[in-house]
Amino acid sequence: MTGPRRPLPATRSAGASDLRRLREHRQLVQEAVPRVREAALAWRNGLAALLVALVGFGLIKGRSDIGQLADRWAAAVGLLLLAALGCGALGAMQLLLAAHGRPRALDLPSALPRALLEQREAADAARQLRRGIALTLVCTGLLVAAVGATWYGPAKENGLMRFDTPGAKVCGTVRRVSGGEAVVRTGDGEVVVPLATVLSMAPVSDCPKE
Amino acid sequence: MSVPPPAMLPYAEESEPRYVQHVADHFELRPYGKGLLLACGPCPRCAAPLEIPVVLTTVRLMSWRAPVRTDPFEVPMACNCDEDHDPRPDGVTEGCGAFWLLGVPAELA
Repeated sequence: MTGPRRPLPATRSAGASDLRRLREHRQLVQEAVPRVREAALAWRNGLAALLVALVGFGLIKGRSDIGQLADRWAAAVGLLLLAALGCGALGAMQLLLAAHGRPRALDLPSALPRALLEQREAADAARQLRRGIALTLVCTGLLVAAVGATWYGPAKENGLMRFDTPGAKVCGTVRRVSGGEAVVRTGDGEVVVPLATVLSMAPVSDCPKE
Repeated sequence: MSVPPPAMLPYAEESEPRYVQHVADHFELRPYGKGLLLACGPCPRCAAPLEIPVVLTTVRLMSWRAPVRTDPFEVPMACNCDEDHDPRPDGVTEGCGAFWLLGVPAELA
């Protein structure tokens, strides 16, 4: 901040239009704080309604269990949801600050004139309002991305295979294949399947209960 | 330049050419952050000591972008003294009615 300065001489004396302009400026300055607070309330309500519609009423809904997703996608969805939560909380805080302000101690002997204090308050509230809107929209975007990932992300590969042999059907996870035999882990333990006896085999998403 | 002592003048919305030089000679601009100034000096009409807040940028809905000023500019201001200058018009609670333009250096914007 620079120190006190002398004003410059004006290039002309003031006229009636300058007086009108001065009154308009005063009115704008007086209305600044209520105007920005009112705008913040409207944005807060609008953005809250948007988020409630998106999440609360299930307008967008992904898989109910992200455990069905491939591990990396599940981790990404978790991170997206965490980031959405963080942005949403910060955005809500900024919108509330813009709408209602924050009580602060004011040192009266060094306090600025009321018009300057109110102008600072209006500028702070406008800044918080802009941040709150941006953060809430980012939160919405992250939520949509998370739901999209659960829609389009690949399902977890379980590695289950079903082998049909003349004597039995074996279903489980292939542990290893060597010497013409496949070792399959089933619910009853490991089973050795001679590959020469296999009539058909296919990947399956689930093994039938015995 | 000496300043005449305060006198109980009737309220009158007026601006005279001599106010320009009076303000340049006797006023002081104290900056208080971006776009906020306090203009201090004696009223060119009633000589009351004044502290006039000068707000160069205000908030209008979403916009809070102070324009970048590279040239000096002029803002209108008026006496806001608490002296007794009757009869004041309805709705006017301060000042003697004098108004003038104040030249603000670009670096204070």
